[in-house]
Amino acid sequence: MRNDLNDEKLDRLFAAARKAVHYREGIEYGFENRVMARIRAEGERQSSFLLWSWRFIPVFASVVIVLGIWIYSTRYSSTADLTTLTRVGNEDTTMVAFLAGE
Amino acid sequence: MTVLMEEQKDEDLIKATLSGDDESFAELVRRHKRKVFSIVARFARNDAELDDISQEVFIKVYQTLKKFRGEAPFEHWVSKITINACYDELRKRRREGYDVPLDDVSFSLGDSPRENMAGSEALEILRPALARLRPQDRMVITLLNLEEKSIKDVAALTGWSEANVKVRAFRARKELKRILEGNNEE
Repeated sequence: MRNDLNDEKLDRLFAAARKAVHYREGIEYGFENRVMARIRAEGERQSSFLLWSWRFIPVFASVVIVLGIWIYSTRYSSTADLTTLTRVGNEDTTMVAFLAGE
Repeated sequence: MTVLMEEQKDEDLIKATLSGDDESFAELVRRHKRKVFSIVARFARNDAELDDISQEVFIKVYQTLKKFRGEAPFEHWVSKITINACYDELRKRRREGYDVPLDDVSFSLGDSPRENMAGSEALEILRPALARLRPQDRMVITLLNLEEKSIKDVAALTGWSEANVKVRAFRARKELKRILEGNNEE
């Protein structure tokens, strides 16, 4: 369906819509209490998160210590790996020399 | 206590809130909720959504209260946050595909809009048409034509330049007329 609409008609439509009551006043009832309840809940959630993160500090500290020990111990094994790599490299050199008839 | 609070200026209540007095913030909500409702109701699809968006607005106000410099009235600052929340909601709907499908839009202007047309009747015609506009078009039409804001006010509320508001208003009006005329072909 096609409706012819000029600017004047559109403005009349807007003027009529402006007069309309566009929300029920009942919705205002207790609104500030609902907002404050949400703000309090949000605050409690954040403070409990902070509290829990403080409680977890010994756990985080233990993890850091364990990681430190692990990194320290793997230093020796990485040296061993280098030795192995050198040996493997020598085997390759020997193999190349053999194949080249030297 | 309540009587005293009612006599206090917004600035005093803001200071008290920042010092940790939540009851002062409740008073600020009481004072400005109608303004927020009247803006949000232009965009919300039902009472639950109206309540939810309005709550989000005041939570945002509470969380960013420290940033309020007092250069403009507190009501303007709250209105700006409200407009931003509504614009975000419109964009979210658009992303999630909650627009009104073409087939669901059915309206006939006939001889209307008459001089004495009822407001509810006008809203019934306008709402589905507005729902089909792009978020920025709906925002500019709502603020200029329904909330009767000036170009300057719309620019201040949305953060767009005045020239941009004018261009968007022109395009939005043209698009709305096209929708209302039932001429849906591109």
